Amino acid sequence: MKYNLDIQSKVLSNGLKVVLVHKKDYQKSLFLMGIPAGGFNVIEEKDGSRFVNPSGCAHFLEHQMFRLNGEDVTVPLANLQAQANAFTSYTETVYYFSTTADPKEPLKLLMDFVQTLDIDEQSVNKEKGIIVSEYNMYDQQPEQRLIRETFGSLYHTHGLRNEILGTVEDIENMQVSDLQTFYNSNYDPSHLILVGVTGKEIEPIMEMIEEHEKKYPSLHPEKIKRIIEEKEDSVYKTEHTEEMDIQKPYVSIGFKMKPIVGVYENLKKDLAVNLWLDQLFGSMNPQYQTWLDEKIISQVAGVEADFTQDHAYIFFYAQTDKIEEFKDLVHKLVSEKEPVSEKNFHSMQIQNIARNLRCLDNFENLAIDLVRSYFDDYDYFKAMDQIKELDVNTVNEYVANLDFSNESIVTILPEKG
Amino acid sequence: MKYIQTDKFTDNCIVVRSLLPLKKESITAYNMLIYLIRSRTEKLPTKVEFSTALNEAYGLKTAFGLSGYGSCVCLDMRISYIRSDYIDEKDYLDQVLFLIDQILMHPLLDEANFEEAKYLYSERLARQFDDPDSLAILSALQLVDEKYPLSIAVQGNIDDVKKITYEDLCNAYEDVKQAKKMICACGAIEEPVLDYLKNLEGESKPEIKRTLVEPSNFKNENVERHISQTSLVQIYATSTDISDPLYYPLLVANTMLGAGPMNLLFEEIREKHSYCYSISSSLLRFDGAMLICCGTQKKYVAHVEELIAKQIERLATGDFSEEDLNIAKMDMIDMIQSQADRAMGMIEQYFFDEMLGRINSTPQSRIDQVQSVSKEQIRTVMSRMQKIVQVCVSQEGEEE
Repeated sequence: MKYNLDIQSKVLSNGLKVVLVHKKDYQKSLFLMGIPAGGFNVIEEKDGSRFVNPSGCAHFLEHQMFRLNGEDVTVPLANLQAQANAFTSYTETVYYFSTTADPKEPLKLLMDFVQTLDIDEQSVNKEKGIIVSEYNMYDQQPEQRLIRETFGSLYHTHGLRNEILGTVEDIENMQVSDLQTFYNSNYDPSHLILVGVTGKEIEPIMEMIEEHEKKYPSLHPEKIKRIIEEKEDSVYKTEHTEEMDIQKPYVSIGFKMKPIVGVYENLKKDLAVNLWLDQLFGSMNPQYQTWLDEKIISQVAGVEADFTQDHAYIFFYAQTDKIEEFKDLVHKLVSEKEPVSEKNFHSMQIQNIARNLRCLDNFENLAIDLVRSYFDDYDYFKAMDQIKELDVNTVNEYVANLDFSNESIVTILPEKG
Repeated sequence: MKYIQTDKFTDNCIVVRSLLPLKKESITAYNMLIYLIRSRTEKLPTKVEFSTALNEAYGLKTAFGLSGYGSCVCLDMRISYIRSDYIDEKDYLDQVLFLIDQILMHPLLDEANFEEAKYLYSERLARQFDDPDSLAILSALQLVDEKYPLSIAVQGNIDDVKKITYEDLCNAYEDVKQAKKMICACGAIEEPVLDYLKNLEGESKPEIKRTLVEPSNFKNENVERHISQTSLVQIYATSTDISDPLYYPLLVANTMLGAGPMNLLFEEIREKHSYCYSISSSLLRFDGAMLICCGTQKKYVAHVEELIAKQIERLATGDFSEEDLNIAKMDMIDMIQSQADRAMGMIEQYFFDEMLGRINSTPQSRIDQVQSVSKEQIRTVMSRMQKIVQVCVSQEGEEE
């Protein structure tokens, strides 16, 4: 498939990867800088020696990075008609801004504040209350709690057990030195990527980036290894129950799978299994109507699956009063492993191709996917084309080989009384 | 039918908006109706057939929703599909046209699915009470005097769900069919689709009545829950209608107070005092109201209240710099300009202008209005603000 995108990419002399996408006729520009460190970066290895960061270090640093030369960088950015923000996932931290004005000056600021650490004890201490409030905001959302407890039950030591925000204790004890160490290890330009999606001409922007980056030579090019250990195939806990101030129970049934090696093989498996699950646990399955009629599921019901080189899982979830019936239906689905029909495969394949096409219009999704493909070391367009190369037999072969024997059930019940 | 022609999107978007009166006695039925009509049609009478047909039409997307505009509630039927010149299939456009017709004109109002609609809708309403932020907003709106449309929950009422019959939903659908409509399409819409949309009946100029909430006696409520942090919601009467010369100053003032990238609430309450992660203000423009929401610890609530009042006072007394004002203006200008990059954004703006009878509204005219806002106007419009409601959904047993 031709994606008809005007893309330029380059690795600069300091090692920074730059990818610029020109979107003709658009007003907006979105630029982001990605750092290959997130919630998983607790144990790291450099030059053969290991060190341990407090949990939530990547996220805490994300909050602190908006200072430049002692002032909040959002002020000069706003003065240039640019709105800045950031997020931290398990595997990366991303800083970005968008504007319909000329993006060059805000882009210089983005490069400057991401590549300059400007923190002190006062700024770090001030941030603790804000991050604890963010933690509390997620903590009182039952779906968030369900996901956290599902990962906590499936894994013994894997980073999925940790919140991206870290523990409240680690947040409250965070020190300037912790953040400095983390920054020095992970924010060298040779590890980073800068992605821009813009309606403006990209050649002069690329020239400007190249020139501006001369200020930031690579000082710590040593590769940092994120250590993720999970030796056991079994789950940490087969059952977990807790209570919350909610109206109706939430339940998840998680299955821990064995990760496989190879980035493209994982992408293919992830695509195939998700395709199978989407038609199995959704409105394309005639039984879905029965589950609704019998009130075993409601709108809050679904399935999540992720297959990567360090972890693989599938979990079904629902908000339901009929917990036992929900367990029975999930157990039936995973024991039968009903193959995808030719007709359903075709239907899902077309839908996936359409989703890929639409993604190219979404600046945020496109930019973030380009960041992830760089960090995970695969070609974004080659990955998109996998859906066209997939066939029904391959999907069904993956499904037949799924091992659902390592299971964990998490239930969140309404508080009594 | 309004056609916004542009070549830059992969998707073509169509919205049919029906304008219905916002009344407590009918709003719950309109909400439940959506659950009945959104996932089956006469020729695609099961979920399996409907979702398979959507997938095969390259993931044609539909969405139904209700939103309140003063005394009116709008039921939007939204359709987006990949433009046909991107798809190398002979009968693709016929598939799209068939689906558009089925979705817009032939939803399946089947008694057999009535119970499902009732079940799913009541579950959604119940879930609102699990989220302290939603609960705080709902409770705050309920405290507004019932003579104002703002006091009516656009999402409907859980107590009314049980009383609704299948006939009520059939009547609600008749209301939708008879309602005044606005139709807008954006993208590279094909001739047959344009012809189809032009022939849809019921299109007419809308008339929206606005009833602004008036400054009144302050009402306060505290609800205790076993939660991690307190949700604080305040409602202010702005006493400023959309037709008021100070409407644009109000928009800029709201950006400065709690909606822009640099705002006073964020700076003072989050950044200086570390009291919260999230705090913001937003306008309910058709109701003359402003909403301020914050998640914080119970022990900080009193000081947060004080600080919010202080920031409003700063704006009302002109205690802000020209730089603050310019930053807010630039943020608004950026929003206006970036609307041209979203099909749904352009459609929304068209509907908004139509509902207000703004015939000459263009992005440039709106930018000019924003640019002309003065410091004095900000002072005047913010001195009109009066707090009328406050709700705290707070942590059980925590010290204040």
